[in-house]
Amino acid sequence: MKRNKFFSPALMLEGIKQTRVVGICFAIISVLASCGYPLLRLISYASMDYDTLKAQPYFTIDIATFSMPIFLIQYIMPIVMIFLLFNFMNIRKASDFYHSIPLSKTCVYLTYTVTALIWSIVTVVVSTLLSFTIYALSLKTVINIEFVWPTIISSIILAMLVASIALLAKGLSGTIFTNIIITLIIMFLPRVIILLYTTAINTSVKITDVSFMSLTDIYNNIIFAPFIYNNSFLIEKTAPILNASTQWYSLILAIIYFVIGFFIHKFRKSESAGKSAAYKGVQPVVRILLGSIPLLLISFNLACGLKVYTEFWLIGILVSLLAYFLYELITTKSAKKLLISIPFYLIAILANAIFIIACVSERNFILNDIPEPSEISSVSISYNNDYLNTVYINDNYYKYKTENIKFDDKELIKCMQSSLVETVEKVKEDDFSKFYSENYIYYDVIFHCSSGRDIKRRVYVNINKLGGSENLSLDSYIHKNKEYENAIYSLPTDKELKSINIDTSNIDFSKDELNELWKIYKEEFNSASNEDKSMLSYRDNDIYNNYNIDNTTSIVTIGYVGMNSFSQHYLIDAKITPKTYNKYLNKTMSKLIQDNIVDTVKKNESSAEYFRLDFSDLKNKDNYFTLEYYNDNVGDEDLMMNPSVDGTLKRYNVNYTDSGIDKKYISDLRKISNIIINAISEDVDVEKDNLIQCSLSTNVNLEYSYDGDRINGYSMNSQSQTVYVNITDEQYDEINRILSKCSNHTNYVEPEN
Amino acid sequence: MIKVENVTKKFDDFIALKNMNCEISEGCIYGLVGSNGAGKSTFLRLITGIYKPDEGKISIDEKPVWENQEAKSDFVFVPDELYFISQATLNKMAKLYNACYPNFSFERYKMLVDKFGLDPKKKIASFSKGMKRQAAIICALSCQTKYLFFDETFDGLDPVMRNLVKNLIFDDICERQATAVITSHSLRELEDTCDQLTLLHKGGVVFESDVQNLKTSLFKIQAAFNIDYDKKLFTDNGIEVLDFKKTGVVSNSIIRGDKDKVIEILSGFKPIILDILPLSLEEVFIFEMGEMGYKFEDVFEKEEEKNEKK
Repeated sequence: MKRNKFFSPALMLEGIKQTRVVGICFAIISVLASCGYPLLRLISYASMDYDTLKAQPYFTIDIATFSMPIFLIQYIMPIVMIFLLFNFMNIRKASDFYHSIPLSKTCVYLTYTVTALIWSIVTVVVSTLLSFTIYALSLKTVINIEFVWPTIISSIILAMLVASIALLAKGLSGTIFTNIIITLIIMFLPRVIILLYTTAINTSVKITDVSFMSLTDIYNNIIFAPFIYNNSFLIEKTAPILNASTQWYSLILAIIYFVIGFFIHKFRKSESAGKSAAYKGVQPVVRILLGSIPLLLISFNLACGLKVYTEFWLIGILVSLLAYFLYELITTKSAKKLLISIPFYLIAILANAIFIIACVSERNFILNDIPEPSEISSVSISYNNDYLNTVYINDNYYKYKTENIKFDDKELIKCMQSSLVETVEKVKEDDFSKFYSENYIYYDVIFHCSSGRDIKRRVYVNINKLGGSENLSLDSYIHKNKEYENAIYSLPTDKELKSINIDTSNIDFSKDELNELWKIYKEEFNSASNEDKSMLSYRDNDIYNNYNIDNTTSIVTIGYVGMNSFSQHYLIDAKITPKTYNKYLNKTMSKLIQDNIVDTVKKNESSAEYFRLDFSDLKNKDNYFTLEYYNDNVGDEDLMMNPSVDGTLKRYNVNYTDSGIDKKYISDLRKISNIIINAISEDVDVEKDNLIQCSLSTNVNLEYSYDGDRINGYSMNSQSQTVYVNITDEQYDEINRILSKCSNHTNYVEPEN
Repeated sequence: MIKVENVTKKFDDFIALKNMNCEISEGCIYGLVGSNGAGKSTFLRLITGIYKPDEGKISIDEKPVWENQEAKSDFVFVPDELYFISQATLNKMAKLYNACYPNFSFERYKMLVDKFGLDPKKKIASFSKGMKRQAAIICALSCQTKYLFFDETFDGLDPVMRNLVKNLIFDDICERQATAVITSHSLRELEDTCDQLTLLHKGGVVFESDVQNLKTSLFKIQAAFNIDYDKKLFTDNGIEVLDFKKTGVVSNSIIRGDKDKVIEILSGFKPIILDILPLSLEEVFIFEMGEMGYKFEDVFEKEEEKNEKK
């Protein structure tokens, strides 16, 4: 029977048997890591009583929480399996054996690689499916089955990439120490160098973001992806590890490494087993790389134009020399070879010099690369998020939607070109102070040249340049473009959108509920005015005047514009999007939650030492106060501090900032809490009634700390709940009357009866 | 047939084998002798495709060996330093060999295990050195390949086992026209086993010959005559004398030539004593190499010296 030249099923089976102990151990660890958390939740829910269970909110699992444990195991597992299976390459007699048997190197390479990957694939699939099943069985847990496939794909791609790197390292070296060193170098060093290079240029140039066909984007290499998060917490929901471009890039990289590794294994001699380097040239290269790394940090600082202190220099050089010579000594154990390696250290220095020269050259090129207006056919102006949107500065949907729109207005082109010239001059002078005045804002501009080249720069523009006193002049030019106007006043399309969630909510919505909410929101958004749309998408500076930002609730959208992942917040506003708001409140203020709050507060009335009420009018942010008082039925009255109220009720033209209240009024203050409690169960009509957000805290245990006999502090264990209540005008008036009386405010008027 | 043509192998600056040529025909047991560092193991590793020659070519049945799965299926190699999978038992190694060699026979394997008396379920790591060697031989012989290569394999075996292995090899040769190549640094070990012998020294072939021819072409004669005589008595009568020692009337001569003819000639002188004594391979080599200008001690470790070291 003709045998397959490329693959041996029998050898694969033997390989699986040889590695079964380690493989099973990893599989168990992976299963425990991925199933441990959902299992604990399941057990915790199972032990709750029925009423408590009913009152618990739903808990949504985001994809990062789900996939991360499974993913992280694949950093180690493929390396260990490859090192085990290919261990014969480190031992001379084992290497001779494998070279003498009637299996070609190709066959052994492919068969054992497949064997290692089979372990990873099985581990990933089993862990993912088990984890998902347990989450799905978990009460009150909402999990999306769409998480399963991306998790499996990304984890397997990671395993492939890590395995291919390990194979490459194994082929180049013949001892376990050098296997590990070279694996780490291949895994991290290229991307680190790219990152340092691009960062150095971006830092020194200031006006551009160097990226080479997005290959330098740190997200693209799946090995780095989990460690890079956007500032927005919710960006994890489409974490870079699950990004399609990351998957493709990493897969192609893995294939390239596999192919290179194949040829390295094929031409490797059996007699190189047990030697630190399997090929001539590998030893000095690794040595030089290790010596270069500490120097790179110094070079990076120099390339950024930063001062490098003497101590830093000394430490850097010392560590570099240590790394360089120690490696040689450990791997060759030869003083003679150590001496021979001395002059080659200069190459490490030279490499760093090249790094600095490359950064400086690139910087100079960028700064001198200024096209003439006649050479520019159009410009794209990316929506300036940093300037205009001070709420969620990482929201970037509109940036991506606008950055490819081309403006061919000659005046605009001329304006941008001259602004670029001015900006570059300031960069060269290293003096940006002029741009920090009110007259300047910056835009990310792409200059589309007639030659076909695109030049991307951050340009500081004098807002008066085009005539007019406000940046509306510039905006007016931009808004002439219909495509631009449509882009900045539209919501993400269904195709672009991957995920929706509610921010600042401790209530979790199911996928269907979110979709329903979004559907209603879209209708309301699309019928709003452009000014309202800007407000709703947090792109209006006036938003701070109109809202208490801490009390706003928003829908967070996450998805892709092309290959770029975005996040964007949309305000749920009681006036502009009342239906959405109503739906949101109905969910958050379900009967069970209302009953739970009322029961908790009433239960603690007699036993809690401390109460706090945060009152905030959602329709008018100037109506708010914080009230704190102590329960005179509990604890030592002498120790209890006086109640206090802090805030303002613009509605009544009253300011209660730091108003002290005598203890005798505690029973009156308790009435305010009771008003709120009684109002809780009323239905909320967002359009008509006074909608108030309250946070009620009760503390059962107040612990004082003493300095001798003096109290110098206290700690408390509080239970807090945020509620939305419908306060009538009468109730509002009553609250104000009580507050005014208690705080002895001069405009308090005692009611007639 | 194994053909080695102008093969040279270097390790950095060291030349392990230089311009080596040899032909190993089928159905024989080929012995390769030489001292440590002569190039025996290198030679075996070259013909088993472990090393790639720097110059020259090697073929087995006209198929190049290097990276040739088909050619490698025809041979099995038992090296001087044995390799077993970590924590493996004999059964486990057999399965690995079975995965690699198309003609591996579990029937033969079981028969060999019984013959050698090893426990196939016990970890090989717990075996003695000799038992490990037996385990390797069992796996190799179970592969039923056309060519068998043993690198100093017999050195670690006791005489009983050596005999057993020898007979098993003979069986393979008889039944399957197998060919065995055995290396050793001891002539005594190969004397009764090999058909052909090649002597390696410092990476080159010093001497190559059929063993039978070697043993019959040279012989020792112990003679005594009534007449006064010396070496001339032999040489004047056309007898080729390589060595002549006379003590009193008794002489011991190493003679190359036709034994019967020499006896006939010497009988004509009415000898008092005329005995033909067989020469050991070692003695044959001493004289053959002496003719070529080599000192035996420079090339070989004598048996006595080896025993003293042990």
